[in-house]
Amino acid sequence: MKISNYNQLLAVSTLFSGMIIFATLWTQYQKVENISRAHFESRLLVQTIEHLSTMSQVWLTTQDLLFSGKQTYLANGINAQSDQLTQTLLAIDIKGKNKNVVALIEQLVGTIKNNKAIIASFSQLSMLNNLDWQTTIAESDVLTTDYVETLEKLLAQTLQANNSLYQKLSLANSHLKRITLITISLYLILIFSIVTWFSKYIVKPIENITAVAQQSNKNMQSVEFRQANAPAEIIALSSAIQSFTQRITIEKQKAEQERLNVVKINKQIKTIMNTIPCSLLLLNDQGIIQECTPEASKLFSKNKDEIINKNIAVFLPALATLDGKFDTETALKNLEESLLAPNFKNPYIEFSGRKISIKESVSYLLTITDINERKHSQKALSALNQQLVNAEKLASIGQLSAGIAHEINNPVGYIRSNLDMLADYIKPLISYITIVKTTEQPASAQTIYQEEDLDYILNDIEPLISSSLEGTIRISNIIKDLGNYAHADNIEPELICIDKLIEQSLSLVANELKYKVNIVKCLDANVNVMGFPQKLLQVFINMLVNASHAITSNGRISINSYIDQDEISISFEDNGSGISQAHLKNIFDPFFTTKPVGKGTGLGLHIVRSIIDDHNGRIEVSSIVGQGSTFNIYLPIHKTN
Amino acid sequence: MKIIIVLTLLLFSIQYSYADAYCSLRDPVAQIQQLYPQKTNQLSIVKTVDSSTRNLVKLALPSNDLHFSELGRHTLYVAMKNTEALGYVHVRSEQSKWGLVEIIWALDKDLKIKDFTFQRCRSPKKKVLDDVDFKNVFIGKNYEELKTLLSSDGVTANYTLLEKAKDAPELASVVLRCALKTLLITDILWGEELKKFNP
Repeated sequence: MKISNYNQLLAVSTLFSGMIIFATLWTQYQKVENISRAHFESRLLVQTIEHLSTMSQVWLTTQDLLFSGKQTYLANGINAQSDQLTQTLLAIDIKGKNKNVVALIEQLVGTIKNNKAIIASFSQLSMLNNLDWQTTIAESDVLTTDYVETLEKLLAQTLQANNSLYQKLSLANSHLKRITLITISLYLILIFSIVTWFSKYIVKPIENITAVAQQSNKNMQSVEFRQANAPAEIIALSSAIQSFTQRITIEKQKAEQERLNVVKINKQIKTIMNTIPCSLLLLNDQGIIQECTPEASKLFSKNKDEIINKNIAVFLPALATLDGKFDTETALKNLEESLLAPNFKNPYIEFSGRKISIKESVSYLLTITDINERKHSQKALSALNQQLVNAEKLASIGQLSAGIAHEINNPVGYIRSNLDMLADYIKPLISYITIVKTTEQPASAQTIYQEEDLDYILNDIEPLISSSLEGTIRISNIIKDLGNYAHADNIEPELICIDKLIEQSLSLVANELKYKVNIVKCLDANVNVMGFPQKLLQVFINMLVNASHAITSNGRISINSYIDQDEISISFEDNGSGISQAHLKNIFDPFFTTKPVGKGTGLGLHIVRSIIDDHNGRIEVSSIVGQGSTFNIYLPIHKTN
Repeated sequence: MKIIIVLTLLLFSIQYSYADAYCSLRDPVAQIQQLYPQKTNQLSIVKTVDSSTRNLVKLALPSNDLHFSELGRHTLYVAMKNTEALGYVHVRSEQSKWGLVEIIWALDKDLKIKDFTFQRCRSPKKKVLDDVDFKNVFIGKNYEELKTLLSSDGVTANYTLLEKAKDAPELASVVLRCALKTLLITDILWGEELKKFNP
């Protein structure tokens, strides 16, 4: 049961017991009061009867005087006494009185009345007639004797009733006292019982819980807070405290276990930190170094004490913003290449950072890798790669040299022929000029002019010269293109026009293509990009040469260039023999070739992809055996101001 | 109440002159016969109770004065069997709660109580005193012996007598006082003359 229910029960029981006590005492008091009132009335009646008795004694004595002395004048006094007695009797309140009492009163009144008549008759008697006196006295004596008997009965009854009421009153008073004593005692016992009960069932369990709680018992598992004999709230409270204590014990054990684990982990971490073969730095959110590994000390060439509590910007300027604060965004990046402070001999590093929370504070874990060796290797590799590209370029020049030579020979041939013709024209012209200069005869000059047909010569010289000049320009362009191709690129990229490069590549491989391939081009990439022109030219030549090699005769190569959003798309589509699916995945591998020995190095497409990668572009290929291949090259457009 | 007191004082002040005729047997022949069935005749000896008698009584029985109404002539009856006196009959009235009680006393020749009966008594408790046990207390006792039944106040009867009249103590005391006065006055007034009946 709950304490509130107990309180309700207590209140109800107290109220109920109080009501019972009050009702009992009130009832008993009313009973006493009624009896007391009845006793008071009875005592008044007794007093009245006693008074009546006294009056009657006087009344009877007066009569005796009349009888003994025959003094009839006393009769009036006796009559007055009789009236007085009658009035006294009639004045008695007979309401609620015993019937016997009422009857006795009525009898007394009647006796007085009768006696009054007898007394009145004495005045009629003769003083000398003693017999009449005696007879009349006897008659009166009969009545007065009856009167006395009745009066004594009345007095006895009223006294008896009064005594009875007195006893009842005494009994009722005693009863009232007893009941009062008993009820008060019972009430006190009830209160004492309730207090005892409260102490036993409410206070005691609380004291037990308090005593258990105050015990300095370290073994919390053996502590028992639960109370069996107690109100529901205290049972629930004790159970809750027990559960809470058990949870605290469990949590304490967990915390202890976690502490041990942390100690163990810290030990492991310390071991790891001391032995880990990389540089680790633990920074706070201000970039102050909190912890570092020996590798970091080695990297920074400083003792651990010289590193701890230093700002990371001292060692790694890249992690400082312009205003010198810790650059948390950069700290979370994976930078494959960065530099230490200028005072480090080997400045190249790679770092990556992560944000971690330790004790609800933000920290940064920085991994720094020394990449100086890799950097040197990369430089060496880059140099080798460049050599390889140049070698491939030279190889392709070698492959193109016959065609280029042929392309040069053609203009050289007709230039020579033109020069021969011009040489033939020069003699008549010189003769004509000499005659004109030495003679003043226009006829002879006219003759030579006509004989040598100088009109024709003069008309033919200009076309010959023009054709020769055009041939020389053509040769010059071929040589220039070849020179550009053969020439090594600048270190820095430059602005180039892709479409022009495609045209140059077509010029260089023209002899390879013109006898078996029909070139269909649609160049619409009218935009400059940053890049290395020689390398891209090498790419396009390689594309055209490979397409030419795939075509036996009467082939077609479609070249398209256009701008697609932020990049230039260049496609080389041929209808040659195509590439099998088995070879497609290997065509960009170095030294992979399906060409006969001596015709290909196996490095062409590998270098193509390497160059495209250097330009942050990409190359894709699709091919169907027997139908041809399509190479799509995508190069990013570098916006320039 | 005042009226009652006045009347009472008036009554006590005027009762003297007619007292002499009151203490007598109503029917002497029959009443003496009842007490002395063997009697053949009777004598009447009239004496006057005066102040000297009253003083003697007062001296002998303090607190038991004779009322003035008791002064006057009184008759003592001698029951005779022919010439032999059987005993004496004396009627005395005594004030009680309910008025005068008139008791007829039968005395033997040694002036000891032979018997008594109520000539006039309004109290219904006279029945109690008519009982033999009560009467036996008186019968055979002379003045001195009866006086021992008087309590120290000289008015009420002591426990010995009252034990026999538990329901009528007041009337028992009246009877005792009446007996003592009867024996005393008989001896005082008629003692000399009665010696001739008891030589």
